[in-house]
Amino acid sequence: MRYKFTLKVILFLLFLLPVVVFSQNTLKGNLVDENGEPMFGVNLFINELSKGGVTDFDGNYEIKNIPDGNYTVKVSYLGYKEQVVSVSLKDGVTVSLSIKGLEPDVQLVDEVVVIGYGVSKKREVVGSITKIGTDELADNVGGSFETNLQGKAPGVQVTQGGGVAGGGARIRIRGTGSITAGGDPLYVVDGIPITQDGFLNGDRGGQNSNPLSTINPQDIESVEILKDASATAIYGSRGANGVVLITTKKGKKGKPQFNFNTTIGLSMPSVNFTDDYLSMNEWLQLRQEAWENDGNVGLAPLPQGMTPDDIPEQGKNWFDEFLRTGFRQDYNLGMRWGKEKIKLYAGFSHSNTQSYLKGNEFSRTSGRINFDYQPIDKLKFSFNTSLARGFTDRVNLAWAGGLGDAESTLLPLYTPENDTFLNNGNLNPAFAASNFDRNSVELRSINALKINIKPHKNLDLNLTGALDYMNLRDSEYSDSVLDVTNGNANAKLWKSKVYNYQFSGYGEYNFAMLPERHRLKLMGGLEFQESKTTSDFIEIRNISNHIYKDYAEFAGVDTLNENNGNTVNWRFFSNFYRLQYVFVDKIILQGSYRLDGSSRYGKDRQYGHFPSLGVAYILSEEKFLKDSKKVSFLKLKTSIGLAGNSNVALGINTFGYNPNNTSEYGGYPTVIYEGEGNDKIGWESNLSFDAGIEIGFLRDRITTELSFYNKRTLDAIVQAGIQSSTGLPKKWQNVAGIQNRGVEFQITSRNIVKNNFLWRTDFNLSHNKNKVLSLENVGADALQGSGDTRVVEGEPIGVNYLIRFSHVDAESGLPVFLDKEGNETFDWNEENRVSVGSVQPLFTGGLSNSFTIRKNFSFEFFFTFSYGGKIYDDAAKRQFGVVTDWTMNRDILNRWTEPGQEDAKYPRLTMDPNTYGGMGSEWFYNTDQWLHDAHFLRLKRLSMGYTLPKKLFAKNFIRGIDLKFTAINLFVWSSFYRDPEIVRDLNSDQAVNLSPNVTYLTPPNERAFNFSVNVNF
Amino acid sequence: MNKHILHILVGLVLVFTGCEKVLEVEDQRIQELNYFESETEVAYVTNEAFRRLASSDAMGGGVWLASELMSDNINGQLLQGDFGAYYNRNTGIFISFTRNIWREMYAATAEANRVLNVIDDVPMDENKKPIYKGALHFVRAVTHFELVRLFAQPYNFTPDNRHLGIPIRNFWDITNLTEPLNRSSVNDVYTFVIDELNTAIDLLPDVNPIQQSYPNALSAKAYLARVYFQMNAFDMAYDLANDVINSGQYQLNDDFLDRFNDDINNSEFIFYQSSMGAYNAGAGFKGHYFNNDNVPTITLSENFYEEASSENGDLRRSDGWFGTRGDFYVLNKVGGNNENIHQPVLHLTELMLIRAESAMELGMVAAGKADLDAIRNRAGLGSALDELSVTQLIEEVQKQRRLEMVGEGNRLHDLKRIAVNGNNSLEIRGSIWNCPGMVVQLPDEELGANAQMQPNPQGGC
Repeated sequence: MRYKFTLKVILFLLFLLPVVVFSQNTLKGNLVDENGEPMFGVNLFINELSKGGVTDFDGNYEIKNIPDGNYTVKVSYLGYKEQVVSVSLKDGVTVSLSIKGLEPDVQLVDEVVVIGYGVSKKREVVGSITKIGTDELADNVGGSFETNLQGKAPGVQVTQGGGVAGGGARIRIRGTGSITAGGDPLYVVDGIPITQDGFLNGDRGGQNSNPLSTINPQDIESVEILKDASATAIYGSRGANGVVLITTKKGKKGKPQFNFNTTIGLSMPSVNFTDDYLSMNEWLQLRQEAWENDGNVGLAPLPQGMTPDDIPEQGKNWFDEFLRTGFRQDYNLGMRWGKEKIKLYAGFSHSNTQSYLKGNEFSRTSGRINFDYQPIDKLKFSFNTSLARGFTDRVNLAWAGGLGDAESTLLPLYTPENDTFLNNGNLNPAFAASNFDRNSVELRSINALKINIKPHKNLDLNLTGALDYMNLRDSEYSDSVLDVTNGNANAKLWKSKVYNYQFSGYGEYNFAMLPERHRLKLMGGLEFQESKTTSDFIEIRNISNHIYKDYAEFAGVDTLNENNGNTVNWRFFSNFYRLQYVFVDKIILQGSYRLDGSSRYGKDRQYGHFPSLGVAYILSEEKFLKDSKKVSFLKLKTSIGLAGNSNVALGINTFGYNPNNTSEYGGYPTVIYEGEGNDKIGWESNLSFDAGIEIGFLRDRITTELSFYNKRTLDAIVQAGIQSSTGLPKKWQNVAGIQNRGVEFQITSRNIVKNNFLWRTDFNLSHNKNKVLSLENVGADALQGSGDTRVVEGEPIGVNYLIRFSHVDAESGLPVFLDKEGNETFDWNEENRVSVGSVQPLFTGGLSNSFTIRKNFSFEFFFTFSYGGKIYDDAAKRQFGVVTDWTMNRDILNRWTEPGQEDAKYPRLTMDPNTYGGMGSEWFYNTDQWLHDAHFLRLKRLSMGYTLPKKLFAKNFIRGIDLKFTAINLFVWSSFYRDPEIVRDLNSDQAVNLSPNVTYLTPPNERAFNFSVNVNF
Repeated sequence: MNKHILHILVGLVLVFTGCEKVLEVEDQRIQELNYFESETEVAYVTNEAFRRLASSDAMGGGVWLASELMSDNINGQLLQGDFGAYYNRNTGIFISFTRNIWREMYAATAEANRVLNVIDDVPMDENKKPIYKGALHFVRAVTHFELVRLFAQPYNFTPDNRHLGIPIRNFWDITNLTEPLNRSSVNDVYTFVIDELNTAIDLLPDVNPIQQSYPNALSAKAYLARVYFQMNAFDMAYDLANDVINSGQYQLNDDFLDRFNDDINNSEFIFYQSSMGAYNAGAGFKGHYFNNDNVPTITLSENFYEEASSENGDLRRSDGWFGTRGDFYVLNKVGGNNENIHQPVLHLTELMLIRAESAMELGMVAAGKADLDAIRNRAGLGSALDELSVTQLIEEVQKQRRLEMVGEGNRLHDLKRIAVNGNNSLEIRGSIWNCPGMVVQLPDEELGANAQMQPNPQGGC
């Protein structure tokens, strides 16, 4: 019964009964479905004349001024297969035609995906590739495109990095396979591996740059994520952590089509945390309690030399000084146009995004032109150019201050004495903030000229020359009023310029002489890439503003520090081949090989070999399945391959004295030894095995994919492993082995496909298990992440390595810990630290349900979730620990207060860390009491759209208007009291690998409400 | 057509081969085995060794402060974080302050090792080689001695001194940096330090002709006197101190206030860290004790101030070394002057006090008292009373050591030295002198890379 119903739904077909009326060179008609309902918005196009029409709300269309002749009319409608009908038009004759109904076009088999150095039919792909379309990327107003990949692709874990304007996301494809080396995927824009190092201009104030933020999401046509070695090995030494291929929009043949899109929105914190803290009186009371618990009498001394007279009547709410409702706006204009030989896409955008943090905003102005010129069939030139400027007004974050201060050192009893000072003698933070400015400007231009030659119908040659230019300026200006002692204004500028050149050539040849049932394709090519980074730093005293311009004019004025022209460069030289063999459209065999040479490695280790081999078998082509009504597509695939990771700091392959890095002692010059490099350092390589199955059911109304992988990083690079008594705290080495094993599942189902109601569900689920296989002689404390995460053999990367807290002793009120063996102890001993959790989730995924009603209304509910893993609240040791000069969380009110109290959550208060088992400092108090389950389910996006009826613009130049309202991060279900999605203010690749899910006053993600209008004309 | 394709493919392969040069990028670093071509490089690296030694994390402040925090000169009741942990005498392995001390001291050692590795083969004036070598042996002695005092129980804590000291780094092998190196015994570390200083004494002239701030033979002798004095080896300490004082090369400052000033020719400097040029020696010392606008981070303890106030007329108090700020006692050796000073690491005052105490211990009471009186008189106090017993006189010398050298990282080691010398129940700020926390815990950076490396016992005091 149920099955029959489903079948009915599946077999739902729309029959078009057009009545084609011929009269006086005009083609007229009416399209109705099988129920006699008119079909609106169906395109009719007369190929021979390059003209056409669209049915109106009543299903009528009319195409005028048609000369006599035989024509083919293309009938197309979104979501349906195209139909072509022939029609003969002669004066005075009426022709009646009956056209078979349009079939829903849900087959995935003909979809084309971008693979490295070429494209492929999706059905013939052997590797694991997820394609994400443009409409799914443009939702994040003013933000960085990669943040929108969250929950979209199985095996791709995206964690949004807090609510900071212009901030990026942490992306891990199929787990974390690196420790000290960067674990980010390789980003390739239109074939060019772009500059993507977020740390190249350093970090300050708890932030570094996000080089992806200047890519306008609206310019992107599609994003393909290559996940397994068979897909990524063609990128050789840079493919191990996955590859994200970004393809920008191209011109389209036809009249110029414009799209104007504008969005306005509001931003606020996604979780409420401002009420979590003690009031002034509570704080004073608890401090007194701690003081007396410690055996003291009298009033507890106030912090910062304050006296009781300094205590204000009412405490100050410091959050008001740092929070606001952010306002954002976004404008985009895109144009697509094309003729026989020329195609053009042009896009311009400006966006300005304020976060909910006062003084923090990001704006991006960008332009892109993609121009194709094809003078003859065999020759095509493509020129892509983009220019973007990103501007980030930064504020101090987390440990650096700002909102972080309000949650730590800014006590409610500190109140402004006057505009400048607080009652504790410190500068008023509001005054300090208004006289200190930090911003970052990124100029980015990605340019490529490509020549495509087809000397022969089976040979396709491509030559590319590209330049990716990036100019980063981080600037600070501190007004003279902030220097209370000397009254000096101070300006600092950090500049980095990166020129990234790429030259490549590759050819693809189809072996045509093979027997009919065999197809063979060979691709081979060469690539050279060079990147030059020049960094400058200057600090000048007593100037009146930021050092923006060429600072030569300030030289010698009052220069404190200057470090110019520090240049580093690297090169890649590669050749690569891919051979694809297809047997009767059902067995696909693919092998690839890349030989990569990189200047980043030690002299004898510069070249690496990266082969892959994969096979796919399309079972649905076999007789026993060919006519199955249930299974419409079935493919099995498996592959094995080796890829590398070159996302390592520059200069790790050399060491020695640097005559350009000097200092001075006693009036005499000195030279600096830069010894952390290792001339034996080599590739971090990743051997991966994959198997997958793709199934389409019911004419591909339902498509699923299930894959397994087992990845092993061999020779992972770490920066550790030597005793600091050598004089070097760290050394680069290839020592670690890491394993990532996982399962991914994805399903897309068009649950209901009716003319006036569409319901589609997308669901994906990924499981990854990470394990450090070997570390040689590197001990647990040699590889640290923020918040006491570690790398321990046999455990996942980023294990929480903590002392276990057991309970509060009812009699003494003292904390009881567990020793290594699990016995209770009062003693605080760092040797009792054990692995108690992991920052890595077990499962992550996304669930989207979208509905389209009467073709005008659309709704989408998009959830992301994460299950398993732990969050470590690294600030808890101060907010719930020893009573110090920090503000504390209200939950501390559940402390032990009297002997016999059994249920105390926190031990008796103290101001002396020694009280807790002889702990040396309040900073040591890292226990699993601050470890929380990291599960969450988040309504990432709720959107409602309305497409204005087309008939409103029938006689207008406007083709359509869409309105959309989107709510981002509306709800989150989580057992953690703050935002469960955390990427801390991390300042190195290792920290990003080891310490996601570790919060330290990290600002939560934003909740945003956006309203947008999209006009096509 | 197929021929063309073959050509292209063959071409691609050919282009690739022989492309080693393609990957050669400019590199500014020169490996140490190729770096030293003349005296210039030797001088640069030797200077770098002294710069690292003088850094504010090392002898420029950190080493001094570490021991002061653990002793009784400082009021640390409101200290938090790393300083709080030191004050509580419960340092763990995660203390940045410790990491920095360890790192910088050993970085200076490594610079010395790299020069000593190759200097015999460097084409340069042979007469200058011993001077560089002597200076660098001196560096290694200072780093090992100061570290073993902080990170290990004192000399004579065990009868044979086989208790754990620190790793001895007297070699540099770039090919084997990952080779684990364990802690040597305290005995071995002291033996090494003494050998190094004796080598320096042999190699160095009495006046260093290369740089004024480099050590000379007398600096090495003076340091060796400090080492023997720490070992309670009074005879050796006396002889060496005597040699240095009698050399006539140094005179007591007329005014103790001059000891921390910007006079590079200070007559008391036996070994100092220079602030010539852009370098600000002692920044880590000044910064903690001095604050123009507010109470400084480090203030003096009541216990110290009481001892400093026990005699009327003490100029060190009235002239401002020991002052008050609000409710706090502050140390102001740099005279409220936060500009560059030259920082004395070994001065004649210390040598006089070493000789004084050693002489008394050895029965030369009058000679010892003469030195003591010189210090007392300069501080505006009369000579010590004649009727004092030897024990009382020795205590008086120790008291003057405390007052003269407060802030200079001396007190903790003095108390331990006194404790092992027959005062087994001595307490330092309420805790027994040899409790585990009286020794700084080794930093994680050192322990993490060597599983065999033994940390100090935990448990504080």
